[in-house]
Amino acid sequence: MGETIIEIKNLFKSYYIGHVEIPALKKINIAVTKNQYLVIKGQSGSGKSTLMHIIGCLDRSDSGSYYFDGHLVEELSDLELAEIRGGKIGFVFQSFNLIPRLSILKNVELPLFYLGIPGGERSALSRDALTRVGLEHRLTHSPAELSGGEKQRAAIARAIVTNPSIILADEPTGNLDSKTGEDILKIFDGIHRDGGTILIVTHNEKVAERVGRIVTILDGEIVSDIEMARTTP
Amino acid sequence: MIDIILMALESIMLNKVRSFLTMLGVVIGVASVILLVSLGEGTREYVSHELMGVGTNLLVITPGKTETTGHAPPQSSTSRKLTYNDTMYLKRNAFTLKDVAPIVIGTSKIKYRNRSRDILTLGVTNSFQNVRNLHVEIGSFITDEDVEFHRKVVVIGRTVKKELFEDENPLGKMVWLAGVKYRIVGIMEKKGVSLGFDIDDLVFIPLLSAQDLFDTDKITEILVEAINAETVDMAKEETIQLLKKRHDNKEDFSVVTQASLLSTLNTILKVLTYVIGAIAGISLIVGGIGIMNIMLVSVQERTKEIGIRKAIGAQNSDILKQFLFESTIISSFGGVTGILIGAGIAYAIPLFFPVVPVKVSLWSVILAFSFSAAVGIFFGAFPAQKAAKLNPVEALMYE
Ligand SMILES: Nc1ncnc2c1ncn2[C@@H]1O[C@H](COP(=O)(O)OP(=O)(O)OP(=O)(O)O)[C@@H](O)[C@H]1O
Ligand SMILES: [Mg+2]
Repeated sequence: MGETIIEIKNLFKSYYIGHVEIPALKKINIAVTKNQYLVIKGQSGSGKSTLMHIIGCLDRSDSGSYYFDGHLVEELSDLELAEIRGGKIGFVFQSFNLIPRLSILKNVELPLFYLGIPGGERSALSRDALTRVGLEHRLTHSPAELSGGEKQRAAIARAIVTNPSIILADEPTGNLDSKTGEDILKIFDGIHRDGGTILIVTHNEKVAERVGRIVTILDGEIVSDIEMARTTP
Repeated sequence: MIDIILMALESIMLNKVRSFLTMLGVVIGVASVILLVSLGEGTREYVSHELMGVGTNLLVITPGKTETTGHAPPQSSTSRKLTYNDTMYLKRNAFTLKDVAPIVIGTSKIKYRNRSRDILTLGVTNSFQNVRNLHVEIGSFITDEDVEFHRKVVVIGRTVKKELFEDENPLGKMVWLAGVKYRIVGIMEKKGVSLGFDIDDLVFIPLLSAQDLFDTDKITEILVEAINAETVDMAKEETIQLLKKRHDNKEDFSVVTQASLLSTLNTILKVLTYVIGAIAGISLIVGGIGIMNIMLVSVQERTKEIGIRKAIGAQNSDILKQFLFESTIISSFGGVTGILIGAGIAYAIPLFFPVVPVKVSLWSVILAFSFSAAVGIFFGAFPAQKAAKLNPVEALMYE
């Protein structure tokens, strides 16, 4: 076991529509250590995205405790959460979420920009990241000029450019055909081989099969957490 | 910092038409502030310049007391008129006065051969030319003997000479003034229009002759010249004391210094300038509301983008700055454009209407620019705040 990046205990989260409570997460306990490659799977509406938003410090829980890299997240200010998101977490979304009016290079540079890294270094790091996902020839293109798979590769480059502690991917192949999805997953495999920690949220069984650990969530509760020894491809 | 400004510029450029129209509100506001203030300032400068030319050592005595406090007094028959003897008395007894020039003002018909016209006619003494610093070019001015002997002599202004005599030499010629024959003894030098009052379009006759002509023993006003600018107040005091002695110890006349007249006028025109400037400023506020409106739309449109930026590490202050820079750049750019247009029109006006005085003052330019920048910050603050406070998850989910 490596060092613990994420440790969640007894976490609850509900949404409210008017006064009606919609429990989304109930008594969640989960820990993620360095260089793990895991999948959270479950049906639609089971609370996967909600959990990912909390793990990604985009949202806060109602109760329970969440340690990220040893910091108790509940005690951090909005500003400190923004710093963690910027420096230690890389997000990959189902709908890519690139900013349409910025070039691919500018999109990848953006997290570094908010970290205050100067222009030259920003550009060099971003080119590196884009090379790692095989997009070095698309720097000046706008997202609209790219295929779905290329967009997702650009989004992955944006997620890894800060060299984060963990990459969180919510349904990263959901908008792609199976062949392209396979390519994207291979990129994740590569990042994992290079020492990266990756958490993928999906309801796609095929995705689940290739990783070392599968967490299943049902109606907001974790119903199984299976770790397969040494099955890293 | 520079990156954020570049970022703001980028999104302004992305919506060129919209940014331009938003800017237009500020441009019009700033341009009208600059233009109207320039007109006001120009007028003020012109008026004070003209009044300065008259001389700051001057006091003007007019009959009747103009109260500045309390109820308006009934302007009744008790107010005594000013007479030639008052003038002589002042001249003989005052220590602080350099000269005293009584004036009778009226209009009469001047006629030479078959040409005639109405003309402003000033009854004066020789002192007038010293006090007002107006001199004859040819011949001589009204002398004290002319006044004393009620002589029928006249000094004519340039315009009068041109209209009645054209190229003829008028010196020594006889003209009819209100049916009385007068001999021309002098022609004034050219002075031109001052305060909308054509100094060349006048005739001067001896004071007592004018009183005969208009059948009166009143003096319209007395101009008094103090020895220098420092003794104006002393001169005013002495004038009042001397005249009161002749008027049963009643102050039934007014003594106004040129300087106080000047400062009063100056104040009035300044206030007027501020008022029209402020009215124009209202249009700038309307422009600001336009900016706010567009920024709110922009924040709404870019909700998802804001969510993405927050997810990848943007702090609230980063988002705030981005939108604030955007609105401030729009308004400042509009401000600069407005200044150029406003000043351009202001400078162009005298080319087409030479009589309209304009002056583009630095303070109005600086004020208009700072105000337009402030408008951008002020009206951009609310939309920027709104953007900065967006919940990251909700913003990300926004479609
Ligand atoms: N903003 C919200 N307001 C109210 N209820 C919400 C909100 N977001 C999610 N929910 C509810 O919380 C529950 C969990 O939603 P969540 O999005 O986490 O599910 P999911 O597992 O990601 O589903 P999917 O696979 O369809 O993405 C669902 O019942 C959903 O309706
Ligand atoms: Mg989901």
